[in-house]
This record gives sequence, structure tokens and C-alpha cells, in this order.
Amino acid sequence: MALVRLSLLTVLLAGAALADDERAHVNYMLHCQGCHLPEAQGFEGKVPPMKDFAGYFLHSGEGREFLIRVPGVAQSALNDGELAELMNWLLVTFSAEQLPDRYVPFTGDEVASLRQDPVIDPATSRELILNRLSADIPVLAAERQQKN
Amino acid sequence: MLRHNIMKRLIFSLVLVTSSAFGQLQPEPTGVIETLPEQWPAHWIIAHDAAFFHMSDGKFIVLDADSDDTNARFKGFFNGAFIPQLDQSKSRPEMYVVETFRSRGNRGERTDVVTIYDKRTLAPIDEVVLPPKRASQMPNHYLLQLVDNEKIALIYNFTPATSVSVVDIVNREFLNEIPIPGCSLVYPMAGRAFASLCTDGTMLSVQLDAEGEQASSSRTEVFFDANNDPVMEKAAIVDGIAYFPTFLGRVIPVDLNGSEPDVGDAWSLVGDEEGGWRPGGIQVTGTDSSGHFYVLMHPDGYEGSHKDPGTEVWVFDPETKRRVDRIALQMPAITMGMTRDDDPLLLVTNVNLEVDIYRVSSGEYLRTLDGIGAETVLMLHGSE
Repeated sequence: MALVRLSLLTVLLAGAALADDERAHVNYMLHCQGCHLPEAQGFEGKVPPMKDFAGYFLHSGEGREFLIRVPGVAQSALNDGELAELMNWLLVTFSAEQLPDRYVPFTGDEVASLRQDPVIDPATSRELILNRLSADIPVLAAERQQKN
Repeated sequence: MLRHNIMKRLIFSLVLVTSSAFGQLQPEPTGVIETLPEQWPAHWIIAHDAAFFHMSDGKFIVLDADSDDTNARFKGFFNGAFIPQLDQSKSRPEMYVVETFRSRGNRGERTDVVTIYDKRTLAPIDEVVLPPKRASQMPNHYLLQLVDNEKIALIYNFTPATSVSVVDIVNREFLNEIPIPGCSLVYPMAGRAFASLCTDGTMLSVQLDAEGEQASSSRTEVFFDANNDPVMEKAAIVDGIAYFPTFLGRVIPVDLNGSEPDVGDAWSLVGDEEGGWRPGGIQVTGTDSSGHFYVLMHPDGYEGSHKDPGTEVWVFDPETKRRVDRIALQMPAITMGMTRDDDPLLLVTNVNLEVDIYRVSSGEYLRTLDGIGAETVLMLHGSE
């Protein structure tokens, strides 16, 4: 299963033409890690962890949209292509295990359209989306229960 | 033994001689505590010594900027640790300081408060406990603002999630916290409302209801590009219109008098002037009571010079969109403030971290306020 997922990832990554991991990493350092920290671990109660977590959001359409519509992403100074590249790098680098089997990377066009509509209350939206996802992903439900 | 007695007697007589020689002097009363007038003279200022190199200290020093006498110019001071933010009431003899305390001094449980100070005694008279989230950063006028005829105090929070704490400052009561994701700082709007500057180049505006809850909100169109010519957040506000200087020397007016911010056309601060002039510094703008605004400017600007010291202060009339004066500084300056009277003084912290005073009408350098016990005056407030 894990092998299938890995090979699927490889194919998809190869397909995301000219994605530049180093540029994505540098952009992460410049635009994200000040708050999200170098390993995307966040900090308790203030900055949600993306490490071993962000991939869960791609299990639903609204979750996928949320990752781009959250203001820190939508309103970043990066252009659409750079932002898509960064998000794809981030998901595979920090949260590959949580990605769905049929993981489809973001494209610049998709990012361009989603970022036009930033979420107004990200904390509440995040909770709602994760609650709904928990119904389908037992391991996420267990993780959230343990935390509460 | 005898010798010892003689010595004693000698010393005693010496003391008597000494005291009788100075007996004409009146004993100086000590421990006298004076109070300041409710309305301070227009040229009294508040120098905010942020104690940049030891931020657990810091103080606000009240000074008479007209005085050449080191002792006479010092009117008093009050503490302010961890770089607090100050605002003054125009309608009450009060000042407000948003500050942070930790239960063990430099560590432990954090408590944020807005402390209410009496302008006459410089003593705290009350406090309102806030969510422990206030933005701890370099001072900036838009970290704390009063709106709705000074009934509401708004405090900018950064955890790094951004929000605004709403305080009923008359009844001294915390009301509510309003999230402003993706936006920063509080700019006062007409009525019970505020605006905030957003990373996507827009402004958010929030109207509050009687309970301090969000009644409605709106967004302006995109009016600046953070990648190519960002605005400086330190707008000069004249008659309710915020003038945002940009890194490259334009200015963008945003009218905050209506129910939503209204973005106007940008114009150039530099015009035909050659020499690569750009705005730069810590507090780069000021306003006077005549409707002019002031910008700290430096020549030979380059990518990254937006915090460089200014060698001149340029004076603009926003009505005509023209520079009406330029004040050459005898020493380049990093931050500026203004008095609010008809014969305004320009207050600057120079690059040697001394406070220099200029008369705006003549552009002349008047004096340096030395001997005030300050290290890093990062903000200068004219008295309200």
C-alpha cells in the first residue's frame, strides 16, 4: 500500500513539470517558517502543526480548498505558480504519510482561483473541516480525541 | 585617653565651624512631589525610551522641549517595560499604556493590561486586563487607537494569528476580541469602527456594535503591491485620511471618514526632485494641526533603505499634493514626532540616539535634549 502510494507520488511529482524543491524550500523559509517553524511543527495553541498533519486536508474538496484559502497562504506575496510549487513541496516533505492515495498536486491555475476568496475565520473553518474529515479517517479522529 | 578626647573635641568644633559658616543657606526641602497641570503646555513632549538593548526596562519621559535647562526640562517619567504602546486622551487627563507583565519578571505567566495613567501625577489609576496577546513589537501608533469619541480603545494582537481587542475605556472593561486574519494593526475610522492593513494589498474595515462585537466588515480593492512597491504601515492621518508612504516614494491616500475605507489616487512625494529620495526610518511620518504631513526622507535610496535614517524632513500639503517645505537636519534622524500647536516643533531622535528639536516655521535647529537619562528613544509624542 505504502509502496503504491510512493510510486504514484513519484509519477505525479515527475508530472509537475519543473517543480524546484530548492526554490520551494527557500520560499518556505522566507514566507512560512517564521511562524510555522523549520519542521512545520507549529507551536501548541498558537500555530497549528502542518508536520504529519497537513496531508489530511486533501481527503476532502473543502479541505483542499482550505489549504489555499487560509489567509497566510492566499494572501502571501508569492505568485500563483510559486505558491502551488511551495504547497506541493510542503505536503510531500512534511506530511506525505497523511496524503490520500490519489494525491493530486496543486496547479498554479487552481491556486489562482482559490486564493481570490480567503477564509474569514480560519480557526472555526479549520475545526469544522477537520470534524467532518474525522468521520472518514479514523486515525485523524483518534488523534483529535487524544488531543482533546 | 586624653588624646582621644582632644581629638573628639577638635572634630566637634570643626563641625560647628563648618555648619555656622553655611548657616545662611536655607535648608533645601527634599522629597517634594509636584503635580503637573491637567492640560500640558503645547511644547511638552513624551519621549519613549524603549530600552532597546534591555527590553525588560523602558520608560516614558515627560519633557519641556522649549527648555535649555537640563533640570527644568525634565517633568517626570513613568515606567513601561517590554516596549509598551502609549496613547493619550484628548478629552480626559489620561494616558493609556498597553503593556505586558510576567509573574516572575522576565518569565512565568503572562498578563497583558491597558494601564490608565493620570496626566497630573503620572501615576497609574486603573487597568483593564486583556487577552495576553498584544503584539510585542517596535512601537507604532497603530498598535493602540481610540475610536468612537475616545470611548473605545482598540489593541492590535499578534500570536501570530492577528486580532483586535476591543475595550470600553470609559467604563474600563474588556468587551471583545475580533479576528483579522491576514491583516495587521488598527487604523481609526469614523464612529465605532476600525480599518486594518492586509498582506494582499487591501484594507479590511470592521464596524462594531454597542457590545463591541463585529457588526459588519468590508474589504477595499487592492491598492498596493507588497512585492514591487509596498506601503509603509506608518500612515500620517490628516482629517481622517490616512496617507501611506510607499517604499519608492509615492503616497496613497485612504479616506477613513466613511463607513468603508475609500482609496484615492496615489501621488509622488518626490516629484521632479533628483537624488533618489525615499522615505525611511522607524517612525517616518508626522502631522501638525494645520493639516500638513511630514515625512523623514533620505537621498540615494536603494532596495532595503526603507529603515535608513533621514537627512531631511519634507512637509506636504495633501490638498495641493505638493511639498511646501523641507527641513534639513543637522544630524540624520531615525524617528520623528510633532507638537500639535500653531507653532509646531519637529522632534527627532538622531543617529547618536539624542533627541533634537527644530522649529518648523523657520526650519532652525533649536536644541538637543541631553541629560534626560534615555538610551533609545524610539518614539516621540507631542502632548495632546
